[in-house]
Amino acid sequence: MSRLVLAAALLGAALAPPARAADPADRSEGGTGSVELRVGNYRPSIDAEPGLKGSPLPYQRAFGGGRPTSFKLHMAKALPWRAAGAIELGAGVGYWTAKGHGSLLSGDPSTDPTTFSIVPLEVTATWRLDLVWERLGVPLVPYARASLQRYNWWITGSSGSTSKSGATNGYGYGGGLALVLDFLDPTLARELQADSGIRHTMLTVDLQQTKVDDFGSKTSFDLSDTKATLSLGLLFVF
Amino acid sequence: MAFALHSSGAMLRCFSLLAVLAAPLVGLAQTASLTLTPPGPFGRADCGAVAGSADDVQISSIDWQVAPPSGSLPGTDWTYKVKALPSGVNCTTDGDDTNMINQSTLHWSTGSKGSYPGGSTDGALFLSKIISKSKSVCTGTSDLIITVCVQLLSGSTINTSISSTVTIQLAPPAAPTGVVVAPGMEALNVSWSEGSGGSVASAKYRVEVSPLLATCATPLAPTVACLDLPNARTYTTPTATTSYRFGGLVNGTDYGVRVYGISAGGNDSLPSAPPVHGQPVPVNDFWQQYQAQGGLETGGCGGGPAGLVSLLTLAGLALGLRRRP
Repeated sequence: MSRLVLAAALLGAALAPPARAADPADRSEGGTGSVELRVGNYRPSIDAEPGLKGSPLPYQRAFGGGRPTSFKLHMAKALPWRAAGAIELGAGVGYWTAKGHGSLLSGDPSTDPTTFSIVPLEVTATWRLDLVWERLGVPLVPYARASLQRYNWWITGSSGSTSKSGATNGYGYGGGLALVLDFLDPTLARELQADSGIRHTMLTVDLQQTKVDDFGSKTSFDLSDTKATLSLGLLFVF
Repeated sequence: MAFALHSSGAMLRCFSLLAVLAAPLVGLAQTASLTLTPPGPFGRADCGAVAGSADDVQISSIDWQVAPPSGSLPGTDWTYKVKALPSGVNCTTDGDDTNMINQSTLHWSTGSKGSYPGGSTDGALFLSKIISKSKSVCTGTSDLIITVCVQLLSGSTINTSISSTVTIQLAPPAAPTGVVVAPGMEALNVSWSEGSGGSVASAKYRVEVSPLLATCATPLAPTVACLDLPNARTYTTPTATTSYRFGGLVNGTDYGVRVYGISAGGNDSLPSAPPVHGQPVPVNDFWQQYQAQGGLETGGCGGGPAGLVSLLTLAGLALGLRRRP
């Protein structure tokens, strides 16, 4: 991991134009918070629950093997103290839905539709190593994030009406890299900050591991992602 | 993109470009036009309606706009004629007043716009009058195309004219083919293909689901005689989509399904043949299938500390936001 961060930092340094060092005004420290839009994909681990029988297992039977797209909006407030970067406390809301087909009582697939939808809510703590950009001028900023998750879910059947709904709690952790776009056009970045208060605009690559099964409950869905959730995002730092 | 839009100079350039691009469109809005409401196309049933009957399609208005006649001055009244012409007759030269639906005057100050029927003395206008004035007949299977024409006259000379056409489709679309009926929960999932060989396309479809009569000897391969047509239910698709989930049926009941194509003018095709058997059956959605395979989730809000912690964190965050100016 450290090698990856080092490589990213070197790449960022290579990308950064020489003018950076002579123009530090757009790399001032501080900030009040951030807003992030993320797009990724997700597949719940329902079929990994113990006690399920038959083949294929119910999620695979209904929705196949894909990883439908997920969306998330995340907002965070920077804490007044810093530790080599911003520490933010935030909340997020997302949306994800899988569309599939019901099953005849014989087990054969039906052409009737069924859907499984989730609105995940999260509260997060994020540590973003802003000094990499603000002091070193390297436009690749690593960050780490821990979260509490609450997945509100519902299932629809043949007629389109909800047949069951519920919520499952859990947690997540992970991190990512943010590419600071300010270095592409510092003048426009400064104008953007002056007009809208957006200090930095970043493209993020986010990797999160989730454990969403009501903290090990045997009578809850296992909505943990089957693998680490990779998502791309656009982050605005205020 | 956000940076580009942010620049006030760039935005100004964008607006300038839009203005330049929009200029021709503004000009287009002022060109000559003639429209009927409704515009059609109409179908064979509309063509054969008895004049003034309930089936006769009412044309609520013919609206037209032309450039002011050359040499017109304020205060000048111009004669205009609304006509219905057989296909091939030219509006700019037609002098046959037996084609005329209405004649009136247009005052210069009202501009170059007109509408018929519009005056208090104008009677209702029906499609049958347009057909009869154009001396058209509803025979054959080719589209009937009638030119609706407005002429502005200076004395007896046609100064300006504008025309448009009304299409009456006389042919039906081809009967749909390849009807497939898949069982659903209290429903049948029906799909089909547009038939080939029709002279007009299907603009929408009507799906007909009939219970089978108890006397039907071959319910799995029903004939038309097996269909309980008085108790049939139908659904007309709003577009030319080729599938529909027909709900509200009874699980375990045998049905026969036929599909009709409908042209834009409203002409029905022959039904797809032969009728296709379908029987709604119970279907497990994901939740039911999960339970059937031994799943233990029971639904409802999950327990655990995350909910409470989440709420406390959100409350703290909100409080922090309020305290900071």
